[in-house]
Amino acid sequence: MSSITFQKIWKIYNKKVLAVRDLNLVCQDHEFLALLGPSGCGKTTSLRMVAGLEGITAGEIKIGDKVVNDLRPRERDIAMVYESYGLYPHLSVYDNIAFPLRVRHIADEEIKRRVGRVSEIVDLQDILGRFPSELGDGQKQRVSIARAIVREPAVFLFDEPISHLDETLRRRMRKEIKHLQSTLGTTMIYVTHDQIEAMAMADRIVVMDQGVVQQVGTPEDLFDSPANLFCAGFIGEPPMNIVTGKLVREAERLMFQSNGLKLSVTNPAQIQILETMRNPDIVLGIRPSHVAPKVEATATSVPAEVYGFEPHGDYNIVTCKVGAEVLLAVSGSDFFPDLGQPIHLEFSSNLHFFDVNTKWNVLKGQGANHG
Amino acid sequence: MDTAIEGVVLSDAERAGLEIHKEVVSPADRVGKALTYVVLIAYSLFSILPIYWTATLAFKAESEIYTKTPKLWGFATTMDNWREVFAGPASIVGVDFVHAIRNSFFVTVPSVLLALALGMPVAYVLARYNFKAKGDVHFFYLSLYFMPPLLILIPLFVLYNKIHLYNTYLGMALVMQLITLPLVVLIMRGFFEDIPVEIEQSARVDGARGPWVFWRIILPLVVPGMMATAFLCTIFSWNNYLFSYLLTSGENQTAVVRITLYRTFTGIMWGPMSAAILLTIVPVLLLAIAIQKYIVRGLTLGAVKG
Amino acid sequence: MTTFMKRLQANVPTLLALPSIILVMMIAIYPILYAFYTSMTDQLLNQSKSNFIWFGNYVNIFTSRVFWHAVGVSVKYVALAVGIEMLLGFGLALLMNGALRGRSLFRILILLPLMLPPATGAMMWASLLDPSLGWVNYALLQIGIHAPAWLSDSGTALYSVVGIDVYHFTPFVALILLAGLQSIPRLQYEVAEVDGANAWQVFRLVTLPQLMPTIFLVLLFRLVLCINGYDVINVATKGGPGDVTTTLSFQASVTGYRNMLLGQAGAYSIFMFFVVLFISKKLFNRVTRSWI
Repeated sequence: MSSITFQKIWKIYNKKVLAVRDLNLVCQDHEFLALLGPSGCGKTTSLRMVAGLEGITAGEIKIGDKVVNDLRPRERDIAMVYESYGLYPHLSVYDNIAFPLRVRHIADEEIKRRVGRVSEIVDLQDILGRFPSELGDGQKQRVSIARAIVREPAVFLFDEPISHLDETLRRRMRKEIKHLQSTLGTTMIYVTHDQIEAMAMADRIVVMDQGVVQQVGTPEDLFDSPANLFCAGFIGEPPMNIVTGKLVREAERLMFQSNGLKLSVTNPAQIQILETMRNPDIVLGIRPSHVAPKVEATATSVPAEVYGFEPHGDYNIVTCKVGAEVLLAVSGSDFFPDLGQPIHLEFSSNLHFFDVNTKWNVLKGQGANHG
Repeated sequence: MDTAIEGVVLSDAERAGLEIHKEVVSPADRVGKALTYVVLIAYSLFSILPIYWTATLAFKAESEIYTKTPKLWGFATTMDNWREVFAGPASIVGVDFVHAIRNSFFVTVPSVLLALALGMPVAYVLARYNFKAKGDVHFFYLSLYFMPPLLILIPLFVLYNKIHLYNTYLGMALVMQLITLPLVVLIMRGFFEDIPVEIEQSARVDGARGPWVFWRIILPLVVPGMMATAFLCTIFSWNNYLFSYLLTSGENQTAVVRITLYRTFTGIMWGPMSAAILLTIVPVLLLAIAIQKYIVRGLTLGAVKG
Repeated sequence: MTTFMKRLQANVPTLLALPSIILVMMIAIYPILYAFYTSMTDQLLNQSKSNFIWFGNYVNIFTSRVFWHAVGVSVKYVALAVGIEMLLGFGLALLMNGALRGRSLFRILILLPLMLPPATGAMMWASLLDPSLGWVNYALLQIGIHAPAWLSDSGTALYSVVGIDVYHFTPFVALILLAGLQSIPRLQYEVAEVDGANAWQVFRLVTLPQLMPTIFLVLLFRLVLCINGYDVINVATKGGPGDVTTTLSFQASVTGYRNMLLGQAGAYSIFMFFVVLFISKKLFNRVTRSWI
């Protein structure tokens, strides 16, 4: 059993820098868990604590049932893949992959077999004799991954492994890594700052900011019901539209009003909570894919002006000026407005509301710190 | 153990609830660390022992020097030794040591300036131009440094006598190039190579011409390297014994050579000699500390970037 | 632009290098050629005329006891000195490579002996090792050891001189190997740790292989400069007592300046020249590739 448990983990550097605050998390056996967040959010620190490369200030980390706080990295049955590959420059690809096995005094025959098998999986058979300085970035990363696999460890720890690759390579590696993990079934913790990567590959994602877990959930959870403003703005491409405004009553209906925008709230659960709020100030979130630009006005559309335009092939992103607000909308591939053209925006009812002070989604309680 | 979280902003409840995890350090690690410091401190003491000892001798009264119980501290001091060193022609030993220091100065400074003037262009050429013999040229300057000195000095002794360069500052400055020129060429080459070619290229695109580019753009960028190289040349030049020993005589010899003159027929005048030694080595030690960042590059003639 | 100017510009590199080449010709090439020539004459120090005697000098020295004794002393001296310096220096470098407080201070303190003129350092050690006035023998006496007269006792003289050499040049080895060690990215050590290597395996499989070029570089420098070494012997023991510390270098100077046999001294020098050349060629290839 190789689940990973973080229990009340704190990490503080030099007595004053708080890197990780009260992390409580369980990564299930065989699970692909992504740690997602901007630089400095504590994701890499957390990963390194699992590896044993960083000391733990407080709390316990368990791999399976075993508390590993005091175990050296090589005693933890983990394998790590690094952002900068970490290949040994003086060893050939074969020797690089064989290194973890040689160090454990495994017989040459066995080494040959395992390296052969692994290099087939990662498609490196042709370059086993080459040296790291002769390899391209994509190849180097695959060697790094091969070296991690060859040991058949209990846990994979991947630290932003593909962030240095170009887009095409990254797309390919995303698929390959995902496929690898599901075939081998090894528990994986994967650190990245790229939400597209996390959304595409992970079973569950842990969103972190400044050392604190913001939300834990499946990609769907994160997309459909972000726990707070941070998650809302971080997940999703293009990013969610965020508008600050006020709640007003108009006749029997509850409306959101801001400088240029006026929408009615239709979700009963939301209405129930919003009506109890004393402060009428509120933050609205709506995804660009839920804002449809139209040439003709409709009964519920809002007038807007085209401010910017990005064709993306299957869809286009239209930047619109609505009163004083700037919103992003997603249109079909046949919509080609001119700059400055007046258009009409149709808003879906999929609105998110966030408390103006705490930034939390009004539908969720405070501190959703579990997993 | 609360010191681990002193500086962090936490609520009291949080702080109370935290159980700091104690770092487990194996006894082997502890011993290893302790031993490391012991060895390094011991070696450092060994390193400065002769220097310290000489410093004590320089200030020791005669009775403290010629005694069966030499002390490292707590001895009677005097300035007599220094008076002797600075006494000039009136000194007991007959050595005008201040004059010897002046000699060192007048040999070293021209050597360094000459090396910079002759060597920098070569270094620049090696850094920027590509030609077949490049490796050979590099090796050639290196081999100057590796030459058995006597191989060159004995013929040079004969030659200098013939062309009246024996016992002259000029003669010395020229020989010293055997040491200083390789230093300048090989070390400055590295510094020139450190400057991205793009800087020169963009200056040329802007219309600037060769010499201007060199003087106004490149040179300012290598000033630190130049200073370090100049200091290093100064150190090696100043410290040189053999060249002055064989190619100059009497009053014109450099300080390092003249120190041995405190060895007289009647015995060694340790006191004044130690003062003379201090006078000779202190400037160099200070220079060395000033350029210690570049010392590895200097010592390996640019082969290793420290 | 005139063709003259054009030709001038095309030859800029050559022009820039010319002054230094001329100088080197004067102070190096010419003396070496002259030394080659002299080594084949019977030139004396105090005379201006000499006769060409082909390889007479070489025959003389290769059949002389004095020459072979000097070779023996040189071999012992260089082997001991360089051997100890390499081991001691490597050890110091390894110690300074780890997490250490005060590393810069240690580096400076350890660097100092290298910055002393070897001739002067020899003098300083001579006073420290003096049997009656020096502190070393006095201190040893305090713990019950009757130490010999280091530099004047024929049993210990050579080792004492080796010791002075070690004092001066161990820092050289230590600092350069330290730089080499620190140029190995820390990431590799983390990677090796996670891969399962213990400290000794890391050293043998990761550190050492990458350090080899630097090790050969240091070895090359030390061997050559030690063979050429002269200052320390001249100041500390003058080759003595007797000829116990008479290295090749010193013997060459004795032959030339005391015995006045310039021709023969030339032969000594040429012999040393070829030895140094041989060593350089053998080691140069193994050294840092970044030389060209």
